Amino acid sequence: MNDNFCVPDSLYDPVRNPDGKQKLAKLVRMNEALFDMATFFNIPMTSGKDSMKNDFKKGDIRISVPPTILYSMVAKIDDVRRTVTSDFKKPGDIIYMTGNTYNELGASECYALFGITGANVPRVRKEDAMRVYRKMMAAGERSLIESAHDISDGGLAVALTECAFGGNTGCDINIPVTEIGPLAELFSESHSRFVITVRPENADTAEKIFGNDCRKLGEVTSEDRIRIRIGDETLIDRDISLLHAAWRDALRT
Amino acid sequence: MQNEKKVKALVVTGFGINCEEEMAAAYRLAGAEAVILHLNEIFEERDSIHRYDILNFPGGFSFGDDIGSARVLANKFKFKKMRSGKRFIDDIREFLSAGKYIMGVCNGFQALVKMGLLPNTGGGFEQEVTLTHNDSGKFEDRWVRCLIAPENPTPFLSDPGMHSIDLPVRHGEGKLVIRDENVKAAILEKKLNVMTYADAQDRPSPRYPDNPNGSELDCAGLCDPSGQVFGLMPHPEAYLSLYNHPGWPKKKRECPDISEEGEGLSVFRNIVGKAGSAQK
Repeated sequence: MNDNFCVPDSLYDPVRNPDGKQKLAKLVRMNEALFDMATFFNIPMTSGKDSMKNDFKKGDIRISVPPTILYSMVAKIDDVRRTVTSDFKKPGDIIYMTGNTYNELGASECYALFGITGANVPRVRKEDAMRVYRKMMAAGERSLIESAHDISDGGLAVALTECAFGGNTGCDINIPVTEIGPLAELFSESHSRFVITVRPENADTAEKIFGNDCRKLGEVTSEDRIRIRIGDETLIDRDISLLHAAWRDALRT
Repeated sequence: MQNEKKVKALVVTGFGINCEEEMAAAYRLAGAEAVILHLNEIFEERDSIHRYDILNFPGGFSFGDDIGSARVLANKFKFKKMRSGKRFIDDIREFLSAGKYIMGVCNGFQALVKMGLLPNTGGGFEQEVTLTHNDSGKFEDRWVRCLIAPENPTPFLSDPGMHSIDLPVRHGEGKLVIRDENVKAAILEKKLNVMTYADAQDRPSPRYPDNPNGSELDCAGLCDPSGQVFGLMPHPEAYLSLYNHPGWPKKKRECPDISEEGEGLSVFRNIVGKAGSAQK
């Protein structure tokens, strides 16, 4: 595990850096989070690199980078055949979400589209995360998982679409109406979740392993189409190839 | 068995070549004995290419790509005098006259082209084509689909079951440019354009991204008229195991009994088989 800080100048100065104390406080909080997670998951940080003066200054203008931590992890898997990739493998496979979605749209990609930050930012429930990870491992050891993708930027809808890109497949998703509402279901960025697929014949075994930590979402199709229904309402029905072009060419324009 | 003589592959290294380990591994998996040797060992005549059956120029960034990829290396091969005063290029000429084989991958292919060994339609080791900057203007580092020409003259691609193959490319200068129409006509007539970039339907493709560099004739690999010299931009030595392929999980799902051998290994099996049968 390796961490890289990229933070603005955090040395307080009443004139040159009036919010320096707040910047320093953010750095402290970041480090506390690192300590909490490293000690809880029992994974030491073997090295790091700090970049502490990321400010642009010209005349009266000062632009500081948002405090950022880049956190990289590498793990060894003894047998390459046991690795799992993120793309959907075959039409008919059952799609599940593991972990739990909360109403945590704060600072999400979804909110960013509307130019707002929001308040309810995701928080890591580390005990829950550990339980889900252990179940993912148990299912992986029994070769039950055909594909697995973490749910991060953009939330569940984006993760499902990315799984479909990789496989030249589509998916049909049916989610019941829940109290957090469709926007949070699809775009909340709650931590410690995965989209996984399982062969139909392995579905029972996988569901037994995950118990309440998995939710069936739908199945992989052979169509170039992602359909997401919540309750009786179809909320997303788009060509995958169209979405893929938008995703792939984002930096080209 | 003691009387069974193994095919010997020489893999050269030095000056920024960096794919020698994979290349040697490929030959070992194909049943040959592989030796990695610094080029200076040959120039100093502490060893000789004539002790080997197949001479290999792996990929890398020889001389930091200064002046142009493999330009300095190619000039060294062309003009370097070995310890005895004999020119290395004459050693290569004798090596080929003895019916032996030469392969160049990526930077090695660029060297073979720039020293005139490929396509060598005129037979005089004169440079007839070049490999220059990709049309995309950037280093292309990804997998491409390649088509193998049927009835091609090189034993490196002699496997009749081989029609197309996925291989990784990693180069900034892979665009084949042919000197003139005469050379182009000779390449076509002698069927030297043995490997082409292809689209998903296995048709030769001039279009990006199927064709990663804009090569003329959609060329990914060339051989010389004898078929003894073969060079290509993609890396067959980087596809020795099924698990090198980024799409292996899906391939295996669709075909549970699929071989765990990478398709790139077939190139090495072909030539080791051919060199072995020539010994008997």
